[in-house]
Amino acid sequence: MRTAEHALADLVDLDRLQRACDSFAATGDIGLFVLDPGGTILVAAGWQDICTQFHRAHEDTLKGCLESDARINQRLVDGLDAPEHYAYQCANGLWDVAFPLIIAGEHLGNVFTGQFFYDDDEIDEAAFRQRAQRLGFDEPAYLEALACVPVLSHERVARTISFLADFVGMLADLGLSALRQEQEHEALTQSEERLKEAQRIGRLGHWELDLVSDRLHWSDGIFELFEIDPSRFAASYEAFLDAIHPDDRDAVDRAYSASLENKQPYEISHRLLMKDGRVKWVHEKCRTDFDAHGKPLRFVGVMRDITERRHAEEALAESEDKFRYMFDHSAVARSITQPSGEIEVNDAFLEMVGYTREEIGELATWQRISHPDDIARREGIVASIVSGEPTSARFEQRYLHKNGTVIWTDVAITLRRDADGNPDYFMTTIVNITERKHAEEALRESEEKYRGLFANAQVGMFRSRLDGSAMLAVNPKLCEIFGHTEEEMLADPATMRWADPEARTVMIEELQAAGSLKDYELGIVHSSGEVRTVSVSMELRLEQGYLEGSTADVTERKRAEEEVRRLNAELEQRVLDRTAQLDAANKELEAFTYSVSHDLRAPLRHISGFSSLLAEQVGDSVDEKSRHYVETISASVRQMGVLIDDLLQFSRTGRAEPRSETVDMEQALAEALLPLQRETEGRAIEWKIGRLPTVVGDHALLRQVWANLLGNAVKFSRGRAPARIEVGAMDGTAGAGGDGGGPAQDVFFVRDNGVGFDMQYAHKLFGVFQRLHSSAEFEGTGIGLANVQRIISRLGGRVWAEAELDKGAAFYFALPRRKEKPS
Amino acid sequence: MMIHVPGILLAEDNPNDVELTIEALDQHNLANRVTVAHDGVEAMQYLRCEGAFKDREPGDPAVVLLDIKMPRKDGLEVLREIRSDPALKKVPVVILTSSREEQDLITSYDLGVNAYVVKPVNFPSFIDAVKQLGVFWAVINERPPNRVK
Repeated sequence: MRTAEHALADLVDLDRLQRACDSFAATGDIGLFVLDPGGTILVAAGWQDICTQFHRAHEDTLKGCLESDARINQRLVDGLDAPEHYAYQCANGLWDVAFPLIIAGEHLGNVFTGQFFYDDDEIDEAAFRQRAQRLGFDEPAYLEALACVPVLSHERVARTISFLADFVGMLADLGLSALRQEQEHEALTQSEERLKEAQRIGRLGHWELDLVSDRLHWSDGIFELFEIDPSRFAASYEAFLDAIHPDDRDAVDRAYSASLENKQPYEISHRLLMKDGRVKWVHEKCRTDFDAHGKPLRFVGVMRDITERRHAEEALAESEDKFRYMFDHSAVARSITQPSGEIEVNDAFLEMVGYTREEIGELATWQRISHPDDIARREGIVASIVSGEPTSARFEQRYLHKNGTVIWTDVAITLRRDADGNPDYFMTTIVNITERKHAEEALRESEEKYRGLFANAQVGMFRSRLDGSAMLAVNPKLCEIFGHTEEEMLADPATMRWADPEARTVMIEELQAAGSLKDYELGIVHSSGEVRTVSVSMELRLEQGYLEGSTADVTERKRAEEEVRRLNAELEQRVLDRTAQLDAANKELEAFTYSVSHDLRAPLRHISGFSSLLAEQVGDSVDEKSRHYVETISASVRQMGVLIDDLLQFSRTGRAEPRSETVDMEQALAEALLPLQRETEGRAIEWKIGRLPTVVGDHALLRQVWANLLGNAVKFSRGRAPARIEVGAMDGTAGAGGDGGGPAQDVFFVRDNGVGFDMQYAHKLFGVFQRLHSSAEFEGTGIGLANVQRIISRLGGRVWAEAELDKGAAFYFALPRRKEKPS
Repeated sequence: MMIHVPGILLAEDNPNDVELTIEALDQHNLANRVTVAHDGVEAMQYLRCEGAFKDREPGDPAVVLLDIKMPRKDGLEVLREIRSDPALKKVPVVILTSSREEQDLITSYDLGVNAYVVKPVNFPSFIDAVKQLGVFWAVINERPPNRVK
């Protein structure tokens, strides 16, 4: 049994029930009571005086009444699952009978009757009398009341109870059904209202076409959608067709026809064209119901206004399109970066980093194209954005161009989150600021350099007012020049004193007129009082509003210049003197040479002549020893003669300026060979003479060189049979002689297989009077090779030798290739 | 007018050289025809029959053997004077000197010397050279026509 939703009082008109019960009670002398389940008396009729006047009026007997009430109630409640009437004889001797009132499964109340005696009860009048005496009742009245208590048969009681129960139950049923009807009606009305409201809110309408009766029903929503006043126009298929946009009518018609064939529901979006030309977008869901034979019965549909959604979609698409276009065609590099680091970039980005789109795809992440030193910082920034604070960031970062150069950029990064607030992607804008960075760097360097220059310059530098009246900045060197501190210089222009203030005024005037001055010399007075000379260069910087200049203390330089001038003058005189001395010495030397040539040979000749004459004079009588002496004198004279000749030759080579002419070396060689013929007569010599180029030099001197070298080769190969002498030339440009590359030059050589020499003495070869062999072995003066070296070096070349003891020697000389000097 | 036997004028200041030269010429019997001038001045006086030679037999020598380095007036000056004197310019002059100086050689030939001989230091060579000179110029060579006094 469920808890009662309804109260009996709501279902039954209690007033009318009371009147009916009163009438009933009057006819049948039987009391009637209707109580709700809580015990409240709703209707009461036919109360007995014995109960109301006496038993329920005295506390002793009331206990019995209440006891009976409680028991019956309890019994009813306990027995609700199997309702039946219940009778109980109260402590005061009367019967109470009750029956539960159960309507539609709900225990709505109880129906009572009672305050009677059954006809088979033995009524003990004496007991009532005693009770009256004991309790102080008015005995006659009490007994009269007792006499009034109806005496009823069991059958009558049962029928009465049944009737009452049925009667009240019927009333309650009626009441309940009425109530329910009312409630249902109300619910339906509410439901319809809600539907209407929902349709209005959802811009939704539905329609239904009864294909059998051909009746068309439109909901209010359809009228609203079609903007037709339902009070003036009825639903019509014509109106429907009329409302559809002309361009969409075919499509709508086709969809409907198709659904009739395939019997499937369908959906379609199409436009409505309003009277005033506005266009609405609607979405229809349609269904046709068929009978068992496939005959269409009903065509129903729902139509929804999707104009706003449509507009929103279009706006979104347009917005996305705009965004995409802006991204792709932005002049600024942009990228969309996934939280994983993968990037999508635009053309400007590609241009900035120099990669193709494919290459970027392969590189995949921004880290791969970023400067390694900047990655950690950016990752930190990204992490803080992901964690929520801040939502975007701007920072400088270096990217790496494909060619390896560094790109400085200004990066603005914003995190886009999805609907759930999870990171979706980063929108990044990258502005290339490399040039700005370089410019900043250059400017910074330039400023630093200037500051360094200003502070450390070994020349005084300053900046002053345009009229020179006050210093704005001075460097330490300027302070040193004037002998004042920077503070003094800046504080008081008078600390700078001029040797001739007038000259200074003139200088400032000239500066004002010309705009700049260069190396203007001026006298200043050092704080020590010493007058010094400075050289000033200045320039007016009119835009900046100051003049800038430099000041060098040239006192020492001036002194030095003066000294140099004096020294130069002195030097010139000295040079003149020396030249005269040198000329004199040269003349002396010439005279000396001449006299050596002339005078020194004369006595030799005399010694030779007179010793020969002496030998003749004494004739055969002279002894062997004396003859040997005379011969020795002759040999010594000869030797000395050669020595003098060689020395003279050597001296001449040193004094004369060599000629610069084209020399046919083959010709020079041939001329040198000629005098050797007599010496080589009778000797077995294998000559091997190669082609020789022409050179620029002095023919006579080069002939002398060949003569000396060939003479040596002939002399020192004297013991060989055959002697082999090779003469040749080679290109020495690549550095013959092991000097590893050099100017264009020709190298000549004379090689023999003679006695050679020990290379450890090679350094002595070309010294005057230096000999590596004794005179007894090989005659000679030790001047020939010295002369060769002197000639070759005067011609700008060099000479060297290679030899091995007993294996032969090779002498080389190199001459630079050059043009003949114009004579 | 008497027949003149042309002699040899030896201009040489050094007595040793004079002696050796005469010795050499003597070996070919030419010594008796030698007149010695001890410097350039004397040589010119001889040629022009002046001073100490004012009274000598007239006539030019067959050859003048001229040393270069001599006191007062050297050989090259003598040569220049001879060649610039119309009366003397055809006289054969041989420079006989110790000098191998190229400049002397060039100057001599420029001035029109007939021969330039460097005195060999070695005496046999010297003898040989002087002998050949004397024979050639005093005997073999045909002299220019003598001037009319």
